[in-house]
Amino acid sequence: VAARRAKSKETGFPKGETGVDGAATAEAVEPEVAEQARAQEALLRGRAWLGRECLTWLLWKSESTQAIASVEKQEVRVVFSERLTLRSASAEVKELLVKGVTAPYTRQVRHAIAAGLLVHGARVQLTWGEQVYVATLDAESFDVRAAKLPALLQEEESERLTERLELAARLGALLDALVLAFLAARLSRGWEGTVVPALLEWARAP
Amino acid sequence: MSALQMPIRRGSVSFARFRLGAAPPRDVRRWLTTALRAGAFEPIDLRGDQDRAAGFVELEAEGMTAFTPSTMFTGMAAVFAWRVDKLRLPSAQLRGELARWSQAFEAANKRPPGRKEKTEQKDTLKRAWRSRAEPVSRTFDVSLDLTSRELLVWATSSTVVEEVHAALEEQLGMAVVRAVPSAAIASNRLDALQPTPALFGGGA
Repeated sequence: VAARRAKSKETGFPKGETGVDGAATAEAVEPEVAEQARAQEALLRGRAWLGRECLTWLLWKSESTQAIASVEKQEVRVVFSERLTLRSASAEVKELLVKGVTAPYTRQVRHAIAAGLLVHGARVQLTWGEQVYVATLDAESFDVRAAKLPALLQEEESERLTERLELAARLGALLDALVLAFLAARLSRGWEGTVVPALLEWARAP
Repeated sequence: MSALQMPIRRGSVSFARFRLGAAPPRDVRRWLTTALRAGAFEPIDLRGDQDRAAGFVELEAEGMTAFTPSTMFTGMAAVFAWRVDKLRLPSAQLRGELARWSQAFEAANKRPPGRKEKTEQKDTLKRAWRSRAEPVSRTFDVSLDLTSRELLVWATSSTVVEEVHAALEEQLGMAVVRAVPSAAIASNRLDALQPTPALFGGGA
């Protein structure tokens, strides 16, 4: 063992891992500390924390099935389904993934939110008038993934392209409206005094 | 990739959303055409050292960079694509050819080749391979709604999305902002905004 340690010191020196005295040049970082640092970095990157607050607020608001926003005088309703990812920057559990049609609204998810895990990724269904859109979103980029648009009505190839672009733009407009509804609450004076306590009460309910 | 396989036309709908940071000039078509031509795709020079090339091409024809109004505008949107070509060095094949050359050299000269001779031969083989190589080509669609100024990059790779984002900002000469919640908040208000402590359980 002693020979192996001596050899390790010799090989570590040219790599910059050990100094001339054989001691490590950098302090070893505990895995828990490194994990915590990574979680913090992910939270701050691209202000993902604001996206997580937004998606968590949307989940809470959507449970009532009431409209959350309106676009061109038509209501926008949201339903979370299929899969949901929750992330934390501090708790022992860093990530929780739930799958199932009604999984996002289960007690386990609400209690995880009460424990400091917020929604980082979700599959959402948006209903606007008679049109239904489904998309996967993440809190950091708000990119649209694996979306389903309403069926195309046009038959001509060039008209179908225009229609598809219009539907993609509509999906973007619906997302913008939901984000603006969240920001109206987030930037209001009642956010910390009224909205967040109500959200946490919902999350802590048995 | 043919036009029929393009995600903007059919298939999985995945895109990154951006918004132009300022109003485009009045002659938006000319402005966009000039910008795309300035960042147009140029093929890899097979006689050079470059292994990768990227730039804008027409949506309908990945070899075309004229960006004429008839190929670029549909309804109130502009559509084009980002093309990435890569040369993939077949390292196993090159190693095999080098080993065969080494054996032949040793048989002819009664000694194995030196390091310098091997390096020279390796360069010769690489140049020979490059002269007949076919780059692997991929295109990623981009659409710009001229009314809402929303720009969609129809790709899932964050590397590609960031590359297109940077190229568009450079060529359009204006900020192109990701459509995330923070982008809808005035900068002076955003700077003062912090994560909600009660929600993050003290971890933010």
